[in-house]
Amino acid sequence: MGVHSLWDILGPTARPVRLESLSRRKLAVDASIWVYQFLKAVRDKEGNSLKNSHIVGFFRRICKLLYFGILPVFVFDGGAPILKKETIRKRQERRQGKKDTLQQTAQKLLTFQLQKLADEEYMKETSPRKINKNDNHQEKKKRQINDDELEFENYFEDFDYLNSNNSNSNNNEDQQISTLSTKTIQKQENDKKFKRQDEYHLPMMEGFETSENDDRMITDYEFKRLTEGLEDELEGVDLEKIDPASPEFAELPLSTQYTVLSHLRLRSRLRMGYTKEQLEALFPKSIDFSKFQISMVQKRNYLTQRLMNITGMDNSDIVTTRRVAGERGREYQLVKNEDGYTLSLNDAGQSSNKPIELDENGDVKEPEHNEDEDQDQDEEVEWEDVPIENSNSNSKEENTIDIDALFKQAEAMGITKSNNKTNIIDSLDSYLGVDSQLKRQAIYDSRMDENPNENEGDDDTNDEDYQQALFQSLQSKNKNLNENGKDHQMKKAIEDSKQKYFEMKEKEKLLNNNNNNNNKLGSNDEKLKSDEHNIEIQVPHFSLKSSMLFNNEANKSSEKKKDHQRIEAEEKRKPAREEQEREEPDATKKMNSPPIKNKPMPSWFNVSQVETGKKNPYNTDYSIYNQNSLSTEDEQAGLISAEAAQQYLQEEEAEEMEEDREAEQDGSDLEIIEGDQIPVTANEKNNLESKKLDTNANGKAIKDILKPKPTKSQDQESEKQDKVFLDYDFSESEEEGLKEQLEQEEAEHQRFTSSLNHTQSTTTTSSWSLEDEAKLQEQRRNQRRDADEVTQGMIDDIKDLLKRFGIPYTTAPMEAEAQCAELLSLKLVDGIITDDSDCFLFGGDIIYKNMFNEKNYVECYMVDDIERDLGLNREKLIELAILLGSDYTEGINGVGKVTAMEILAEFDNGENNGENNDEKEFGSALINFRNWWMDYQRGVKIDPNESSIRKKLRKLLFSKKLYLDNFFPNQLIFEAYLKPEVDHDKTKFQWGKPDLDKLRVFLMYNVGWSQEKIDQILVPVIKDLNKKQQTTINEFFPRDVMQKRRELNLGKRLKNATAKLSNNSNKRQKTS
Amino acid sequence: MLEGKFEESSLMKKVVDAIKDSVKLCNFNCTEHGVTVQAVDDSRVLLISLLIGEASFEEYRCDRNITLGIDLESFNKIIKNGNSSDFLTLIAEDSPDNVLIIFEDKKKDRVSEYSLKLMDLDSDFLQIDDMEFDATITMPSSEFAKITRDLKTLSESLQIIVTKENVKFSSDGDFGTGNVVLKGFVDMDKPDESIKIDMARPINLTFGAKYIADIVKGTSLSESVTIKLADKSPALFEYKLPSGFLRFYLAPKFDEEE
Repeated sequence: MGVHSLWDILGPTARPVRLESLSRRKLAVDASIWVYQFLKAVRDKEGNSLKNSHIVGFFRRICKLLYFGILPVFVFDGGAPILKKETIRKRQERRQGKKDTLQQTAQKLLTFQLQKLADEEYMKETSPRKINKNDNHQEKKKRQINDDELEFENYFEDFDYLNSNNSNSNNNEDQQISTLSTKTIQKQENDKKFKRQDEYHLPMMEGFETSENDDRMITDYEFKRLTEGLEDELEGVDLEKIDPASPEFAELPLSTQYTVLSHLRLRSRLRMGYTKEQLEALFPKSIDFSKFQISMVQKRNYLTQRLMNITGMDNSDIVTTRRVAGERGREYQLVKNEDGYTLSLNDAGQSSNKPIELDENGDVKEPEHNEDEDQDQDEEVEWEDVPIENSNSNSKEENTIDIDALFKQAEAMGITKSNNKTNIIDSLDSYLGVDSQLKRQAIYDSRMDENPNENEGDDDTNDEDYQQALFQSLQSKNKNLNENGKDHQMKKAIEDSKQKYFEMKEKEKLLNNNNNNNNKLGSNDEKLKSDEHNIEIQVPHFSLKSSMLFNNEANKSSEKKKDHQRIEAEEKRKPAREEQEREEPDATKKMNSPPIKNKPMPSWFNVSQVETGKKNPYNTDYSIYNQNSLSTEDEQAGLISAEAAQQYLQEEEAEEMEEDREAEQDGSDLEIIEGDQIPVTANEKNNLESKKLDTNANGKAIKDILKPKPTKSQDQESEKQDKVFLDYDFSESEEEGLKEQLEQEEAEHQRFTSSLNHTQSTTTTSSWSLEDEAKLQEQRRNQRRDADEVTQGMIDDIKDLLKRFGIPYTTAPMEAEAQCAELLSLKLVDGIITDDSDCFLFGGDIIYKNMFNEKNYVECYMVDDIERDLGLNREKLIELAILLGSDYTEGINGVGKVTAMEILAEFDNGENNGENNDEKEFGSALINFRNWWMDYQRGVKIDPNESSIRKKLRKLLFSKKLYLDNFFPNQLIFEAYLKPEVDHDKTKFQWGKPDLDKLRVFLMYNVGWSQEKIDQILVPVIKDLNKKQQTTINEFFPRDVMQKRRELNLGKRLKNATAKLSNNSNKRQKTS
Repeated sequence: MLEGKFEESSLMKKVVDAIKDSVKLCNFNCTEHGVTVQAVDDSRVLLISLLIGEASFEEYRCDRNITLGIDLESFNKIIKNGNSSDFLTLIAEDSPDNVLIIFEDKKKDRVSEYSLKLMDLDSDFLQIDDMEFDATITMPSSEFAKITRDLKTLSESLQIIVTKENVKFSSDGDFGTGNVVLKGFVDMDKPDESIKIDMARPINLTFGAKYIADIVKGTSLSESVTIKLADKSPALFEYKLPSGFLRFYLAPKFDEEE
């Protein structure tokens, strides 16, 4: 509405005017805005618009106007000019995130490439001095790297210290790593000879000279833009339109590819830029939405894969190196980076990741680890790909520490551990509770199966179904299962009390651990074999992954059996954690962010899933917990979907099995299987065949809970929910992404539950339903305003009302405020009542704003005042609109009211132009501004003496990536404001008397008021109207315009700007 | 530099009293001829025009035109602090931020000095040409004040009807009507008590009673008041000062049809 923040600028010029002084004034009322206002503002408690708010609102306002003896003329909107429609459309698009057209995107990409080329050229041609600088840079770099190395070694010293027991193995490792790192460093140093700085950096050429005026050289503008804007150069690009699969994309430099991909992936994690409403419209069924989500996950998978490929290929690429080193170099994670560059080391990282999970258990014991873990996760969020490697290596180190420490203390500390564990986090407890429940269920199931051995059989069959090669490893795991089963039986005895349960669990785990250890010691070779098998199988599926996970294991095991044993033991002890470990190294991949699953990985996922399913329901549960906690931390989709699934389950208990399964898949399974539907179906088949619930994937396990003991599980579910939301509250300060998703989910959920029972949903919805509603309302309002939701019917109602009041009205050909201004200039009215600042630009001289806010006063704005006090005439106001944005133009990004005024003041040369001369272009100040900027764009040398305002401006606008061409300022905008399409009819308006009877009928019929109520308001007003009207002095004595400029209460910058502007306007008036 | 010394502070007190209810803020424009004020009330119905001529001061000096934007309410608080018989001196710089108000007791050597912050006020000047009036009434100011007070209780409007012989003040309210008719007469002993009616054309005008009630606050300034009326024009109510005047221009009420 109107020019953005123009009212803020004009505000100080307003004069308070007593309403009485407007007596007998003919005022044009911009009625179009009123209808919107009533629609927007008048709402009942639920946020619904009241049915006849417009009639009531108009009625009240008319009464007030009449009471003060004002003679109103109502002006309605006719239509929206093309320019306005266009602007509105653009805004809407921008709001929806569809930033640019395909063409623009392509253009931007192209220019980016060109700029890079230019940059290269520039580097080539710069004077030797610059290259020297670069050399300095290089040296610095070198030093940095050395430092890093140092750090690295230091770190390992610590490491050794910590793990004196394992010093041998560690030393081995250390050596290995350090050799590798030195290798990489050497490599880098070799590279440094030429392109140490970046990929555009070329060696110095002697005897090559350039002049600064050389056209071929990149301009300061572009150079800055390139160097500063590199990070987010894709901001304005429509990522949707980029096809990463296209060969063109592959042509891009890797760093660009990387940026695009990571952006894309980030985006895919959100709602694709869709609003909640849009999503709702798109997916009336929530199942469809889930499918959509799955497809998104697939997409993310793909992108992640691409990313990984790129980073993998990038290993030798210095850009990546630099990136990693630059950002994380200060931490020992740098070491990991270097590891990351070597694939084998990456793998090592993964095995070490497992310990991270252990850390979670040993939370209290070794909080540092947790912190590290958190860091890792955070970093992963931030850094997407790179972190994967980092975290791997990082965790690796932790790993070893962990393993050692944990292993040593495992037996001794076992019980305390369990105690600690119970204390760790409330949510954890709750989850554990659920876990236990799950376990119970699993036991039931296994009992129903009559024998845990049958489980084995199932597993075996599964394995056969999936991958025979996994057989051995699974066998060993089955053994595990057996033991677990025993434990379960033990557990079963103590089922009643939860606390005991936990303790038992811990003990159980310890037992497991021990057993496993024994087992492992005995069948170590077998293990190794199986591991190798694993590797072999999985490598083809996803080279990177497998290498990370399993190669590492293999290496370790072969090299250091002891370590391996320990690791294995740990693994066995807590298979769930093993899962986690696998998933965690690439938080992106599985748990944390379903988005990042790779396509090649599905088979692996499948396997892992089956494994988890078979191993232990506890596993699955744990993974869910993990998901939840992780996602709350990382703000990723996992939490919500899992939860939604659970809610889903609760609600749909009564519903059919298939739906259940689907829901589960959507929810909890989603995380694990997600990317691929094939494995899911495979699972299902499997289920159907074996008809054993426990063999099924996670979702099934959940289902199990729900079925046999619905009430209990429900309780727990709700508890869980509460917990989850608590978690959410804690992480409040984090990104909006999660919130959005929550809302989205919640909306879906609400829709779902509306027909069902509300009791479950109430607790969860209440926490942010208000916010939700506010958002909805806001959106609705916006839509209203933009989408012309004022119906013709409403306007007709109001016209009818006006007729009964005897008030004249007119419908403008286009915009009401333009017509109002025209009426004023035709002297048909004495002033304009509007809240739309556009009116000044259409030539409205006397404008009354906030007519109905205060009892006795109204703000009066006069163009004379504005010109005198602020130095803004109509043309300047239009220029202001072009800078700030209005109904007709989007404005310049980053320019606010103060900056806009400064621009006008700075570039206004005080010459008289425009208005008298049709040939002349309007907007002299803006033209000067444009020329100045285009000089910069063209690379014309910057005047070193330019004013500080210009310097600041240049900096600001540069950061906003302003681009101007010769069409700025758009003369069409001037045209639209100076010559709006209006009705020039000079017929005078006639005012009649309100017809009380007719008004009564109208109001009774339309609003349902009683006659009493109507009379209460109407009668005094009409009575007053029939009395003699008070005239005002101004009707008799002409006003002397001799007024001095007022000192307004403005900010310093505004004050300077307005002083200059008004000086110029004075000059102009004198000359003309 | 403005320096104006009144023989007695009472004049200034009365002036401020007379206008402070109509306008809150006004500019005192000081010229070499004296001090003038033009102000319109918020509802822009009543215009006040004040001239305190040079002769009203015992000593007066104003080299350059100076505008004092004064908040009358605050000014009134200060002005009240002086005894009526005190000398009152106003002192202001050429572009003043404040005005000094000095009271000097004539008997004792007490000097009270006050400073009033000035304001930067909108000064919209109305051009008041010499108007031609159809009827002029001069009457004792206290008489006019009494009539106004009495009739205001009946209605918010006060009608002034001037015929050949007399002037009728009339008020038509919800619960009744009131009329006061005055005939011209001359009191030779006390000329100020005389009522003089000059009429070129019969007049029937209606005014807002509350505005007239504000006007009669100038009663203390002068023994008599002059009312000048013209059809469909603002009426002029004038209180004469020793040198200068206090004038009120009041816009009438119209019927819609007129």
